[in-house]
Amino acid sequence: MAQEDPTLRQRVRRSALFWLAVAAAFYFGFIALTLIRGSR
Amino acid sequence: MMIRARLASLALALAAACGPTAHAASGWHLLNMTPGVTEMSRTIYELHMLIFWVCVAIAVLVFGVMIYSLVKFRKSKGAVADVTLVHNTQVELVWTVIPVAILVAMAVPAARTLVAIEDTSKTELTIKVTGFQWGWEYDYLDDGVTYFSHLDHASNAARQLDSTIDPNTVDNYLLNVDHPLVVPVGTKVRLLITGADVIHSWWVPAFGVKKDAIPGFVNEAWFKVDTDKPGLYRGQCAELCGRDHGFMPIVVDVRTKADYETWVKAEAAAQKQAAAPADAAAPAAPSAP
Amino acid sequence: MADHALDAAHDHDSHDHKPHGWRRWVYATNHKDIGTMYLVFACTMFFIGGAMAMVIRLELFKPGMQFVDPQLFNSMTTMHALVMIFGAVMPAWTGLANWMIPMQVGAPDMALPRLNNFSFWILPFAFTLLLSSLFVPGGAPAGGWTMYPPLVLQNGASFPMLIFSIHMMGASSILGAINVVVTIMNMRAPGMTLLRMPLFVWTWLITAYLLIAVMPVLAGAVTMLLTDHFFGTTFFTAAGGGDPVMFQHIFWFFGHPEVYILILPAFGIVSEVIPTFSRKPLFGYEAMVYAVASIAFLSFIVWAHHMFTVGMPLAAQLFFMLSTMLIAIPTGVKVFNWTATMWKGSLSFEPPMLFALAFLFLFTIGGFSGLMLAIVPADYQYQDTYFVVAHFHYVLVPGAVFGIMAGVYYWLPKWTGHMYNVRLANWHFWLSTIFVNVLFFPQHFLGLAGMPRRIPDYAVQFTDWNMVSSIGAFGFGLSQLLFPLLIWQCVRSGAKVGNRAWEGAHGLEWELPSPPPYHSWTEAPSDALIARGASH
Repeated sequence: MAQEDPTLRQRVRRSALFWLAVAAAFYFGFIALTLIRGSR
Repeated sequence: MMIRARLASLALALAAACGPTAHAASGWHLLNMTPGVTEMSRTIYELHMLIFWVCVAIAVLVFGVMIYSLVKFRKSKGAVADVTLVHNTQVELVWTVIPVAILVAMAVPAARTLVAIEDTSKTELTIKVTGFQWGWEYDYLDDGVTYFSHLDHASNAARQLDSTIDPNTVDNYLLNVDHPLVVPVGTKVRLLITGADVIHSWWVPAFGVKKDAIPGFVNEAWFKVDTDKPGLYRGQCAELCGRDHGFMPIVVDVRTKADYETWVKAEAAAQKQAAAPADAAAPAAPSAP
Repeated sequence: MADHALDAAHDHDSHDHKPHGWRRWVYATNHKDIGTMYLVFACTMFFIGGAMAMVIRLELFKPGMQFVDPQLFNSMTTMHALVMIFGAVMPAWTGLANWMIPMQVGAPDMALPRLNNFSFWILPFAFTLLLSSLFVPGGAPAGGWTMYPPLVLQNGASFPMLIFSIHMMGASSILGAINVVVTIMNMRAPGMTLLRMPLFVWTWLITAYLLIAVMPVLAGAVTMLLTDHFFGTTFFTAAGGGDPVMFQHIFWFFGHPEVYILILPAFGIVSEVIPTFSRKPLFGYEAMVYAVASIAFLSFIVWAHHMFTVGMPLAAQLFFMLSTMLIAIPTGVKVFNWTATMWKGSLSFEPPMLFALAFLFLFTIGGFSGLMLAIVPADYQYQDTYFVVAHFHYVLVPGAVFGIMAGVYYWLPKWTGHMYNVRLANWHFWLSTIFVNVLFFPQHFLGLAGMPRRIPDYAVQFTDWNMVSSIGAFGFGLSQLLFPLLIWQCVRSGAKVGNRAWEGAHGLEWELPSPPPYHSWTEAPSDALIARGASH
């Protein structure tokens, strides 16, 4: 089965972490954006 | 018990609505926007009708083709699928380009109207409007007249949860206030709109004006009522603002210029006197409309 | 995390042993079990949210206050929206994604099974928290699902419950979306190229990207509300240098893509159902994919059309009007392609097709009112009236909800191995379609005649159409009871169906037995099977 393939495992892990990072960037990005706008 | 009584009254209301003796002012004919009493509200109405008819035309065409397909290409009528029909660049180009053309044709008059709406120059009278929970405060900046406007007592009594008053017997139920905003006809009136606590929205459909009242910010809007259209015009708060959002109507009393001048002078004098130290406690109230 | 998740799938590899009793569900890592739980959860929330709608329509049946206090009425409108959007429609889509994506791309399961378990099990807790706010002092959130400050800050004890439940729903959606993206990008069978994927997989891939981008934005916005309320920040308070309108910009930056999150998977389902029952491949497959992608892109640059009355600069209003009108073009392409798919087809009208056709007509009506709302000067009159309520219910009920119904009626025989009672399904369809129009069409009239939305009581001239709308609501609500009844019957009994439950169905899911094995494609499907499925 496909999951036994270690390269697939690594690809799955990398892409999950990548998209999690994207989500975190949007979260903190928008808070930062509001802060910057407010302190102007 | 209570619930059953209420359900019974609902059933009665249903019977009344279905029967021939429905209440006097029937609402069945209320299907569309009304043109209103300002040049701008009529322009908006025409824009609304234009986009409406464009949509109707597209609908007739698209729904026509769909219905034709549903009738013509039924398996039960022996239709055989043409499985090679999966792509046609020409047709696809046509149904992309034609909508673009329609949209451009719509965008031009819409943009032109919007530019005119945003032009707040050459105003002749400025009134500050403050929305609060739950009513409006009107401040005639140049004349020293300020007062509050709330839902009138008759509506307020009838709208209580266990009131036994039939709303149909109340004059302009939920659309009446104690002290309406008074303005003259044929005058470009500028409103400076703000909020005292939460966001409200000042809306009078007949003027084509809706603008949010935001605490800490001042929004501008204007209207100019036709000289031959004095009268009472009604609206409501249009932004959810808490428990009594549904109970903060707006009434605008549009008077002839002479009547307005008389009113504003009397009002200013009365408020000046009321503000005098001797009777500072007396509330500022405008004369009855 | 990924290692463990993969191990979990591996443990059950290739033998059809499933854990029994409560462990099967609480420790579920199987995409079908999790999909089922999502769908059952969504159905439950659909009825809870529906009950709230019934309260709203009961109070609005005639003028005067008869049943609820205005504050409770506001709680009902607020909670109805939150429950329907985050509790019914979004989990239903995730449930369908769980069931179908592995089967459709030739994978044994989702890529991250334990994450999948986690993202489902967050939801019951989130909604228990949200719904229990009905019983705290001050009542449930009543500031509208849009949570505009400063009003939302006036909520009592329910305020932090609202914020935390939104955070939990957001986390659940983000994790679910990551799982979908990772599955589609890594678990496709060899030969299942991107442009061979079924439209449902495509629309869900794009939906998942939208979710990853905008759910964190919502989470950020409500976090700032929380700190404004409890920690003395003034992000959205003008007195402290903040800006209440900034919240609206951030909220709708989330909110507009959100409405496409609710509708794009329905586009995918309709794009599979119409070809099946037209016995003809989808017209313009690639154009459909590009149209969905353009709609998703445009959804990021149109947000301020929800707030034309806040007083934006002229240039901003013009920009948002034009960008909004542009959405009509890819949406039009989709509607025309569906119509062209039926053209010279061989049509039959089984329940999934009926729901797809109702979607096609009624969603288009919602599209027309959407186009009208884009015209800024006219929008000044429509904004915050029942016209808007009619518009978004037309795209969400006969749009998104009928899309879900079409999907369930399409794949239910595959899931259970049984054909459902078609007569009952036809009744469900006709009652739903008639009543949904009785319910929402008169709301166009009410809005144009000047009735604002979110009011518990109204002027007497609005009585007649409100009564019609309420009768439609009661009829629609009652007809939905047929749906769980029908599903229950189908699960328990019903004629056995073959692999290909529908004559014209194409796609990898129809190559598996009905019901499919516990682990969908333990052996990757052959190229021939993939080619036969991807008939476009």
